[in-house]
Amino acid sequence: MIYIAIAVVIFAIGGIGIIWKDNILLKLLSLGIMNAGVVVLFVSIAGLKHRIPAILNTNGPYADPLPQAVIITSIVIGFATMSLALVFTMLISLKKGTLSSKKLQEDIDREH
Amino acid sequence: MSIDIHVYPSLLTLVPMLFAPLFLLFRTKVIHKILATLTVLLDLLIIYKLMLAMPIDEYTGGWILRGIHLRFDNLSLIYTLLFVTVIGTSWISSFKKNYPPLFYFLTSILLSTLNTSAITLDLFNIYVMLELSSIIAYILIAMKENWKHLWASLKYLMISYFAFTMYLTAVGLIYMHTGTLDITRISGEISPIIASMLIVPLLLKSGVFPVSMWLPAAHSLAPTEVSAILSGSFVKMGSIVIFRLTSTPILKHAYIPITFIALLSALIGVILAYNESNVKRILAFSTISQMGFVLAGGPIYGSLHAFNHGIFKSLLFFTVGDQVEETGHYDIKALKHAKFPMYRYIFLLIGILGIAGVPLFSGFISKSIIIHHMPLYGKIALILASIGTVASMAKLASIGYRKSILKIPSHYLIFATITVFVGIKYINYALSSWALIESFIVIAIGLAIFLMLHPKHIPRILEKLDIMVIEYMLTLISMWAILYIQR
Repeated sequence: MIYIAIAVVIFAIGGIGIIWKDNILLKLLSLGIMNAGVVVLFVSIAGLKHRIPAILNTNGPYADPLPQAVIITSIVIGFATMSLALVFTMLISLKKGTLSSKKLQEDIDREH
Repeated sequence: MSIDIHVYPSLLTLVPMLFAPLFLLFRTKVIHKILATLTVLLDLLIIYKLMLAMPIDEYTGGWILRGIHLRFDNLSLIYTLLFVTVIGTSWISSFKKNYPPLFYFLTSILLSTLNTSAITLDLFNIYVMLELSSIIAYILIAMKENWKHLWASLKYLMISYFAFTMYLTAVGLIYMHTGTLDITRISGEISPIIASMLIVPLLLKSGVFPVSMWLPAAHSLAPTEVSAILSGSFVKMGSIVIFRLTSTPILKHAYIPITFIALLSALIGVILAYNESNVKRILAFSTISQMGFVLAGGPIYGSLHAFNHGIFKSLLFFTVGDQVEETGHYDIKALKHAKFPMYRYIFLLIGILGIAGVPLFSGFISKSIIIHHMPLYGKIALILASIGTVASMAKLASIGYRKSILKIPSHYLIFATITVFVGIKYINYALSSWALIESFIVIAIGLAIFLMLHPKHIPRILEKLDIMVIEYMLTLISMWAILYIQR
């Protein structure tokens, strides 16, 4: 149970960071932290109920393989999304010269 | 000669996915045309074959009750037809312009993910498809590499990554409680907080008001074909998953808060659209409003409106987008000087008549059926929203036309034909004296509002990233509260 509490705390820290921080890079970092919270949650779910192993017919406590398979996929997706976001951030800073989300929003409201 | 082929629902995923890399391998336009035609034709053939044997259940890999559960039924039929029509027609249009091979690669994969979302019943598979299609959308929106496009796309990326992380958490918790990811086999009770964490991300994906303020910037800045794909097919993906979830016994009660949000969205969407001066943003806000109609309509009638809306909104985005690209103006006042060429104006009018719900056009059927089946408060809200739709679309029509040579671009023609064909063929389902009177009153009041009421500039506070996160959290909390009270 303590792992679930830790997961929720990590998740909340990330969520607050997205609202609080102005810099895009820090916002992305907060997103990464949030994702880490979900990973912790899934790993703890896998160990909560001891299920029978999928292939071998042996006794004893085993972690559920499905949450782990799920989280591997989601880590890969998170990696892809995050790299794309960083590329976008890099291009924005090259073309616009600022990473402040407030300033970008003001400019886009004026020009579009 | 008849060839007996066995088709499986999973082919709808595999075929566009297999064709996608070929677009990158062969970089000549001729081969791209052949590949695109083949993809669309094969997709249509598979849909046709599946339609004959509906409903089909499939477990991938033959692992009965263990593999990913796919099902092809009425709902899938409507949605897959819409997806292949919108993307195929966008390809036709894109061949006239200079799109990189990457565009075809991405849209082909997008077609595959959209098809999968229409047939899958597995919660985690839905997550993968949501994420994959979103990643493609980010790249498509930012394809011009202008800082505005990049920022619009990045805003969408952050809010939707935030939301889908929650969706994944909800999926994990559901697995923990029930031990299955198959929508049809989830039993027992889902706690309100998990249910709202599952549904609100899908609302974000389907472009409904409080959670989808990423949509106006992204849809209006994207290139014409991409706008049409996003508004015509991409935002429909969330709605089909919501229909699937709410038709299960455990999440049936979630339909009431969803209807409230949908009605709110239908109303606020038109108010924002009416007070907007950027033509593509008018269309984007009207998408928010129309998605409210779709979600309020429920699985049977809502999916019909999703199809009709996908078709005429793509037509509107094509006509307006082509005009914007030609003149370089987004503002309605500047466009009034340039005016539409006559042939384009005619097609624009067909789209507008469709979306405004004029009899003999497809919007009339689905809109009046949805309004007919709502309780009284829903009827009032949706009729008000229809009046707003007429008023905001009259703004587009007021741009006017100039004489020009007559051309009939094939991509306009396809959408216009479907709008009129559906409108005439199925008119019996909606035709009643009440529906006719209602539609004429709506149009009259809408035009009166357009003539009397001057639009005001509304500040775009709701589109700031941090405000969007707060909007999202508020929606989540209110959804949770309603579900908790209902229990």
